[in-house]
Amino acid sequence: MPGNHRIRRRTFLAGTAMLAGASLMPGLRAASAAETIKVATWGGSWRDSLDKLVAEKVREAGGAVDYVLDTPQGNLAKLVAARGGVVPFDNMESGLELVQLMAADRFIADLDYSSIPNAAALPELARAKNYVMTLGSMDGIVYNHEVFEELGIAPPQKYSDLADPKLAGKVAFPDITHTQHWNAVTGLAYEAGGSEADLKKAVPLINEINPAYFYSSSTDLSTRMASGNIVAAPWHAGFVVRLRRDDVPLSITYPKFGDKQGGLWPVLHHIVRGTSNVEMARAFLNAYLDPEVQLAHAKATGVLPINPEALRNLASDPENQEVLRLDETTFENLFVVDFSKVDLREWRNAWMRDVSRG
Amino acid sequence: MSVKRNYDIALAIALAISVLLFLVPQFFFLRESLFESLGMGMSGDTLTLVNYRMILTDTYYLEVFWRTFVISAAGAGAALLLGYPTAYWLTRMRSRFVSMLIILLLVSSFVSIVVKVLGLSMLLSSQGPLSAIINVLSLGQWQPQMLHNDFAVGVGLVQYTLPLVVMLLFGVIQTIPESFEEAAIVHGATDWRLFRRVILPLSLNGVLTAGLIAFNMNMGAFTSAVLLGGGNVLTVPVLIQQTIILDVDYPLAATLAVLLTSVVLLINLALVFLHRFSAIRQPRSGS
Repeated sequence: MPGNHRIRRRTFLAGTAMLAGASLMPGLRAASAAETIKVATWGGSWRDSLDKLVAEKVREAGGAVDYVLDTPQGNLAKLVAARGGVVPFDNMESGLELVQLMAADRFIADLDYSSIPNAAALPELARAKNYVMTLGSMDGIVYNHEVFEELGIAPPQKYSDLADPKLAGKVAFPDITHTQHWNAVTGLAYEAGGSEADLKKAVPLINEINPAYFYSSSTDLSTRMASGNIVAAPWHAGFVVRLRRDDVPLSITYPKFGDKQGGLWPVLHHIVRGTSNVEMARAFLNAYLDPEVQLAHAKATGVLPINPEALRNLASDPENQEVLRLDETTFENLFVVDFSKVDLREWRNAWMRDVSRG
Repeated sequence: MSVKRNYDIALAIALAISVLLFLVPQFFFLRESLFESLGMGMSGDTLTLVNYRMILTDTYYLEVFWRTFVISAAGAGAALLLGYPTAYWLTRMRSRFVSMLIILLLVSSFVSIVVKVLGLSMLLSSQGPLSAIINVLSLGQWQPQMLHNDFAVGVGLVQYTLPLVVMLLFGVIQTIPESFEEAAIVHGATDWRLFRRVILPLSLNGVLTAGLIAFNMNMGAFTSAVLLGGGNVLTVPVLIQQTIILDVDYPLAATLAVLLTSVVLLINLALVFLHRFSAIRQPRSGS
C-alpha cells in the first residue's frame, strides 16, 4: 500500500533537523574539513594539469583537493577579506610582486622544509622562508607566424615592435592583474632606456602599441589567439606549446633585458597562515616538487620545472624543446624583475591614468 | 477585506526585507567610506572625508563617473528605442504565437549575462560575421573595430536590459485600449500624430519607469564592461573591483560605491520630480 511507504511530515522534519544539527557539530565539521584542501591557482589547462598530476598524489593519500580559481591578485584580495575568519584556501600560487605584501601582513606561513622532502633537491634560489618556487614561465612575445608572414612583418625582436601599424587592432597586452604584465612593462621600460626602477618610461611605448585589448585571463587570450582575433601579445611560451597542439600557428621570440634575454616569471607556492590542513597542504606542495610530477606538469603546460632533474629531462621533449630555451644556464640567462626596486603604487597609478585606452 | 489585508502583509514583509537588504550594506559602505585606508584592507579609526575629497577633486575619477553615466544613459535610450516598437507590436499582434514570443523573451532574460556577453564578443570580433558583412559591403575598405570599446559595452548593456524593457512596456501598452487609436484614426490622425498625441502620453509613465530601471541596471553593470570593454573601458563598477583587487583599499572602494548609489538615486529622484512637475504645469486638454 502506498501509505506504508509514505514518510510522515514529523519524521521528515525531525530527520532534517538532526542532519542540520549534526553538520553544525564542531567535531564533524573539523573532520570533514581535514580531508579536503583548497588550492588557489589559475584556471584552464593549468588547473587541469595540477589536478591530474599533483592532486592525484593527495587523493592517493586519502585527501581531496578543491580549487579557488583566480589571479594571484584576486586570491590575495580573498585572503584579506577573510582576515580574522576561516581562511578561504590552504595553498596558494602567486608571484614575486605579492610576496612582500603577503609576508608583511602575515598571510602566509613560514615553511618547514623538513616536512617537504622533495624541496631538498631544489636550487637555493627556489627555497625561501615563506615560499617555494615550483616552476617558471618563460616570457616573451607570442605571435601568429602565419599572419606575420601574410602581413610581411619580420618576427618581433623587441616589445616595441608590436607598435607596427600593420598590427593595429590585433595586439593584446597583459593587464596589471596578469602575471605576464610585469616582464612586459619592464621589457618596455628597458627599451625606453629605463628599468624596473622607473616603469613609467614604458607608458609612451604602450600607448604607441595601442593594444586592442588588455587581457586579464590567459584562457580568454587563448580563444582570441586561436580565432585570429588577436595575432600578437607579450605572453609566455607555455601557451605556444599548448596552442600548437590545436594547430594554432604560434611562435615566440625572447626580447633582451640588458644583458639577459627573455623573462622568467617564477611561480611561487605558499601555505596559507591559519590553515587547519597543514599536513595535507605540505603533502600537496611536496607532490608538486616530485621530479616526475614536475616534468609531467612542465611538459603539459610548457613551463620550466625548478627541479634540476626534471629540467634536464624536459630538454629532450621535442614539443617543448622547439619553444623553450633549455640548457644548463636557462635560469641564469633569464631576466627576473627585482620588485624591491618597483614602486607598485606609483606604477598602478600610472597604469590606470596614463595608459591610453580605446 | 481579509484577502486584501493578507496581501498587504505579504507586500509589507517583502518590502521590509528588500529595504533591509539594501540599507544594511549601504550602511557598512557608508561607514567604511568615512575612514582612511591604512593599506591591505585596513582602515584608520578617525572619521574623515578624505576619500570623498580625493574622488570629487580628481578629474580621473570624475571622468570615470561621466563615462559610466553616458554609456548607461545611451544604453537605456537604445533599449527604449528598440523595446518600445517591439512591445507595441507584441501587444497589437493577433496571433497565438504572442504568448510563445513572450515566454521566449522571458527565457532569454534568464540566460547568464556571461554567456550572452561571450556570444556578443564573437559577433562583434574582427573575425566575426558582422565584421565580415561590413567588410564585404564596403568592398574591403572598412574593417570597423567593434569590440573592446565604449560601443561594445553599450551593445552589451542593451542586450542585458532589452528583455526587461520589452516586458515592462508590454504590460503598459497592453492597458491602452485599441479603441483610442481607432478613434484617433477616424478623426484623421496620422501614424506619427497618433503615436505622439495618444500612445506615448498614455504610456509615458511606463516608458520612464522602464528607462530608469534600464539605466539603474547599466550604472551597476560589471560583466559587460569587463568582457566587452577588454580593459579599455573603465566604468565605476570596474574601478571599484580594481580598487579592491589591486589596491585592497576598502575605504576608497566603499566611497566609490556610496557615490555611485547616490548619483543613481539623485538621477532617479530628479527625473521623477521633473516628470511630476511637467505633468502639473501641462494644461489638461478639456473634454
